[in-house]
Amino acid sequence: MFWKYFLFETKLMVRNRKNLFLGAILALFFPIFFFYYSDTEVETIESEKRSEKEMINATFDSFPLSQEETPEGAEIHEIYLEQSSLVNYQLYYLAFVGLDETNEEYIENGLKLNELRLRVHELDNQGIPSQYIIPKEEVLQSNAFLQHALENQIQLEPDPFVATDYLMHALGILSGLFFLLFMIISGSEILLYEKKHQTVMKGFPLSIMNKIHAKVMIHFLYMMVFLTAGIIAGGYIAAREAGFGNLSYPVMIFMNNDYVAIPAFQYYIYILLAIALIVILLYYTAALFNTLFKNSYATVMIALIIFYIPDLFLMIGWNTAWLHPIKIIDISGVLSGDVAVQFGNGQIDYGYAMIWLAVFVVMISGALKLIQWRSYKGSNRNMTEEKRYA
Amino acid sequence: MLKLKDVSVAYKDKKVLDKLSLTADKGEVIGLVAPNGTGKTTLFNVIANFLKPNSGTVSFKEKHTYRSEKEEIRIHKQLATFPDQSDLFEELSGLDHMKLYATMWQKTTKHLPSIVESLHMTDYVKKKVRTYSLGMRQRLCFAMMEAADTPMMLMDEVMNGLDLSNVALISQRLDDMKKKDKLIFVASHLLENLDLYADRVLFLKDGKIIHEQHFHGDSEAFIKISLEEEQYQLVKKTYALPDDHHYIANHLLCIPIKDMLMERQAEWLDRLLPFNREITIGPLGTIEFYEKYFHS
Ligand SMILES: Nc1ncnc2c1ncn2[C@@H]1O[C@H](COP(=O)(O)OP(=O)(O)OP(=O)(O)O)[C@@H](O)[C@H]1O
Ligand SMILES: [Mg+2]
Repeated sequence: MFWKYFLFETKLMVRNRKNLFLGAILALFFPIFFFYYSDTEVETIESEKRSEKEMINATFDSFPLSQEETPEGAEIHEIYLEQSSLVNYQLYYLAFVGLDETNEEYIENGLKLNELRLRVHELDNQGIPSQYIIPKEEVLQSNAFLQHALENQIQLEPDPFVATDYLMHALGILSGLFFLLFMIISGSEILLYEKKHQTVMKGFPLSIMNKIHAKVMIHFLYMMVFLTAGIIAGGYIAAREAGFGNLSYPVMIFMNNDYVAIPAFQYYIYILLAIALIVILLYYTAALFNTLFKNSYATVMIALIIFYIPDLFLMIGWNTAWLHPIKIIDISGVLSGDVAVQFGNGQIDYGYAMIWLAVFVVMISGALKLIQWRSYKGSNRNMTEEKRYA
Repeated sequence: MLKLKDVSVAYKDKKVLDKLSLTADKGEVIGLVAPNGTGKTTLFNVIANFLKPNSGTVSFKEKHTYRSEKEEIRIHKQLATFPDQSDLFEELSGLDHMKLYATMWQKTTKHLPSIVESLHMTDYVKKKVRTYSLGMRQRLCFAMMEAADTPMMLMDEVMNGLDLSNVALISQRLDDMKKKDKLIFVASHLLENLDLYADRVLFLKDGKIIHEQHFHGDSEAFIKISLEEEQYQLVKKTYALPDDHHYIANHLLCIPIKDMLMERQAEWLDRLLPFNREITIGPLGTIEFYEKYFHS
């Protein structure tokens, strides 16, 4: 009977214009965004090295006269001289050896450069203007990448427009706010919808939780179809325009308080798994908010507010770790380490996200169950308490 | 099969049901009549547990009550409620609706074609509900109940918007369902119609059942005639009216003839004929009681 009910919900879902519209936008985002993205200027390794060189020169110019009076200052001055020569050598290698996998000199110089940069951080960046400081996370990330490149003999600069790279970027744009909005809006009436058809839908010999599971499941499958279609369409367009790319090319992710390289296909498995869990979580959340607030606008607004609470608290300088799990919704930011850096919490990585996603799903469906259970406690209650979500 | 005990429902200041008790058994069609806004729908909602009463209990087969969701599901397996036309899904077909009800309560949809046919829905049942007229929708709602085919059914506003021939059709179906040993509650404003198939009619007033009219076989017969107040007073003064006569809603005089001899009955007819009003003979129907309780 559960399946019959599920089939009926499917019938309703495929006739739901709002969700068709949202799904279509989600699917079209991937192919359409490609054209915008492929028009943007992308930094090449060479241009990056040139701007690093300029930055080093500018830093020299802005050292105060007293720079070499302290031992730390003197060491930093020394280090910058060395950095300058390393970057120059790297530019030379790029020009004469190129970007193929045998460019070990380039990589070794890069590793040395990163080592020196970390040393500067240890010395508290004395005398260096803040706009010229390269964040530690960036250094670690680059280090992990170069290390991996050295060990695995990979090409240093992939084409950012090939399908495997493009999709990663597109998922990154979607992740977080956009994704939350899409899913919460599509689920904003997940239970309330029935209110307009109360006398038809009430009174089935079916538990409310089973109804909720069926609704979440069908919403999930429906949106996943569009998401998959979008990824395939976007991937196809990118592959046609720029090539497919390489699924084993390393991607830097933040894990165990460090940056590690994983092959692109592993990255995709990670992020798609997480997205699936996030979608399920968001639909259960929508169901809970529908039950509590009985209003679809409130459902969307409150979800949005909750998503931004950690940022608001961070702004007023009240950064508490127990709010951080909320940010795992931005899974791309979690994988890249951006969220960990933003909130200064090295624990926030993929494992942390997956554990919290599971905890949240259990918590929210538990809360729903509790609400249903409570509605049967005490056989007679006040009439103003409208029964359950109906 | 169904038992309500001291059920009370109040909205803020207003008492809608007041310690109402009721028992009902299978094979019964029970009519429920009252003016608009009295509490018929409320009573049905309590029976189906869509609304928790402020006090009182509802029990089924002497053991099931709405104390947990498990119990509720057990009860709902036996119970279907009549949907509101306005709640139908405009974008789905009538058959979709019927299939939903069939699969929620029965394991099969094999019985649907014969329902469609007997309710004359063949022409339109596959079209979207959006295209239906009022009467077509109403027949669909009834068809959904037949598709559910539960032992107990609550039918609110069952004849809403139906023309005469469809009222007759549904009445016939209700009568057939009764023979299948179902317990059916019917709330309707078509009072005479209830007399056709109801075993008893409950009159709801001030939150209580103020009268219960039984219709089995040997109901007392009455001579019924519509008279003005003065005419009634005249009759009353001139002849000795039996003590158990009724003068309903200030216009309908009903004289019981069950224990009368033939000559006495003829005598009464002779006396009343000069008023030149329609005289009928038969049991008091729902209409007469309705007028008695709600119009005086
Ligand atoms: N949610 C509610 N809040 C406040 N009062 C309500 C509510 N629902 C019903 N009532 C009141 O309860 C009373 C009974 O309503 P109910 O719908 O049971 O009447 P009914 O007998 O079915 O009438 P009708 O013949 O018009 O269908 C009405 O006076 C109505 O105003
Ligand atoms: Mg009503």
